[in-house]
Amino acid sequence: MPRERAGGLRAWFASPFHRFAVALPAAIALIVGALFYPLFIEAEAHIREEVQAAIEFEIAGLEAHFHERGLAGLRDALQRRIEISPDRAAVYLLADRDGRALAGNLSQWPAGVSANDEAWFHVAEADGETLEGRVFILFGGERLLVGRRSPLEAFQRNMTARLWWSAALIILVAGVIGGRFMQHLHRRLARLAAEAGRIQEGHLAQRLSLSARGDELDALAERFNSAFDEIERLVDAAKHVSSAIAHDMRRPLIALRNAIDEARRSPGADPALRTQLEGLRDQTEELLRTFSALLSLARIEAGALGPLLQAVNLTEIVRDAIDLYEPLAASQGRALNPRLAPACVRGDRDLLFQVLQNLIENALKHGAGDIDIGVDTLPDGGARLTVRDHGEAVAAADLPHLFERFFRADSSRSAAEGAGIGLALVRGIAEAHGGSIRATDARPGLCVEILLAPGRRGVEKS
Amino acid sequence: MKILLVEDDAQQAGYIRKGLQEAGHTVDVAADGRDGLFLATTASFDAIVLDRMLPRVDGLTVLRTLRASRIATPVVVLSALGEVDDRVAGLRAGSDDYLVKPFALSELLARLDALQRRGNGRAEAEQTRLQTADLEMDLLRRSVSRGATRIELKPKEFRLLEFLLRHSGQVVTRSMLLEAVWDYHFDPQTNVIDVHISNLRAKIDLPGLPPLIHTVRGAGYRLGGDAA
Repeated sequence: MPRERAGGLRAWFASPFHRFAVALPAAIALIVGALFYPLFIEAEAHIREEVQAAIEFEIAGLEAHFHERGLAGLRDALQRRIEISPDRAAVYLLADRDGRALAGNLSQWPAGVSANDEAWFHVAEADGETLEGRVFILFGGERLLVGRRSPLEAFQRNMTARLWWSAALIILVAGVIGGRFMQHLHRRLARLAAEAGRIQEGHLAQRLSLSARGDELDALAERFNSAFDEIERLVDAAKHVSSAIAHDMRRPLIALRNAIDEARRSPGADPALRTQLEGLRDQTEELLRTFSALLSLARIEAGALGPLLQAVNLTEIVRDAIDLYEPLAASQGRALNPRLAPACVRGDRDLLFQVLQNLIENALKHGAGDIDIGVDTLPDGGARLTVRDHGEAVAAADLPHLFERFFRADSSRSAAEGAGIGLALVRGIAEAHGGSIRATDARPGLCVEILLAPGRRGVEKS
Repeated sequence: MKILLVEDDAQQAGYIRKGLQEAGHTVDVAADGRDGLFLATTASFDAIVLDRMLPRVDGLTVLRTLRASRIATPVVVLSALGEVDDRVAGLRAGSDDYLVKPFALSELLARLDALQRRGNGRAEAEQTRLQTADLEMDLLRRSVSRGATRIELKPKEFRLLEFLLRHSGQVVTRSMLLEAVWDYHFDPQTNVIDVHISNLRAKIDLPGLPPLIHTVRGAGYRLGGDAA
């Protein structure tokens, strides 16, 4: 049964599977982040130190040249350095006090670097790289800029991209694995729920299926199965007791009925006594009928009629039943409305007629309004039989119990009629036919629906 | 009628015997299958009432043996449980009718009468007209009239009346009618047959004429001109 997803996202997160499916990749991503972030920071600091050390080293060299040979010496040294190491990592610029370039591998004073402060600078260039270095003001007012293009920015960009990609990959992989796992678990739980549902519907022989793994779910299912075994045993015992009582009570009841009958027929009896005896006899007959129905039900449930099922024309049986009950319904001012498609099912003619008899009588007794009787064919070739009245609704809580022995939906509803065996018998017969039965609130009225297997396979096992 | 009752339950046998005797029949009782078979083969009876569950030789074996020795006496089989398989087995073994315990004595009597009538009627030519008092049915033209008045009947009413006419003067039970007219076998528990009969009665027993369809309390119906 699909539950209403009323709360939307909230309801979605209520499922432990969904929460797990989200939490797992999130946790993995967090752990990975916690591990790699310090490494990242350390690597960054290391690169920065390296660059600064390289710059300091360059400055020390250039300083020596300047001391020895003045500005010309500095120029030569710069020139030489640019020539022997043409890599673009090292940056030099010697400029006059107005900022015009005198020597070096920069054509002009870089934007964003102050030419009037002797200080470390750190600027981003147009092509995205970072320039890091130091500015010196020489005695003649010339400015010397020594720097390096730092790989830090590139490293950061690179690392960030990689981290994002791996985070996405982790989430994706964890999501797929988690989703797969959840789906599998979900399916198993859904199957268990469906099987439990069948048991709840009254198919007491149904058990929860186990997987080959013998995991915790199997252990739980096994636990439930043994509980169901016990319930089935108790229900069987109860059924057996009722059949045993019915069986054992029949003989004394028959003797009682016969004795009443004899007394009734004796010539001396006065009319008043005779009428009383007749009433007594009718009541005894009613009891005997109830017991007979109970015994029939026990036999049908025991599967005694399996071999007798053969292909029968359901539509014809329904027509016969309508034919039989039409006058009775008409005498109550009610009608039987047939809506019949041709259908052939595997079954027993008399028992299927008894199903209709019970359903129609039930609708006549407890329902109100016209009674719709329908036969539809199902895609698998089987048939659906529906009997529906337009009377008062049966309480939703009572619907699943409608087919239990001795169940009465409402104690105030003409309790004198019937003992509550009729619908139990209907279910017994439907299930002995391999069919299923269901009662629904037809708003208004009660609708009983029986699904029966197709009769095309003809006579079985005969 | 001379009837053989094969029943092992003494209490039940006594009750049935008494009932049958009160109805004017002569009854011999056998308490087990072997005695029953012996009596049935050595003496002549108009009908046999045979319990299915019997000590020594069971009811269906008795029945098969009888039929195998070409004894065609009508047999009503009594069974503790009226399940489909029992009924089919009983009819296959050659029984003429089948009754489920507990049955009403009136039901057994009515069925024995019907068997008797069927047995007698076998020799007669197939009838085309049925008549009781001033009620007439023409089976070929499928018409019914009472005196000079033509009566229009629905198909099921026609078959109901035909069955009553074929058993006129006899008591016919509700389950006999259900079996004969609708061909389903069980005890109708409500007044569903009564409604059919009262509809039929409304058409047959016209005002001012003596009623023909009588209700027999605790048993069923009887068609006949006399009020008894």
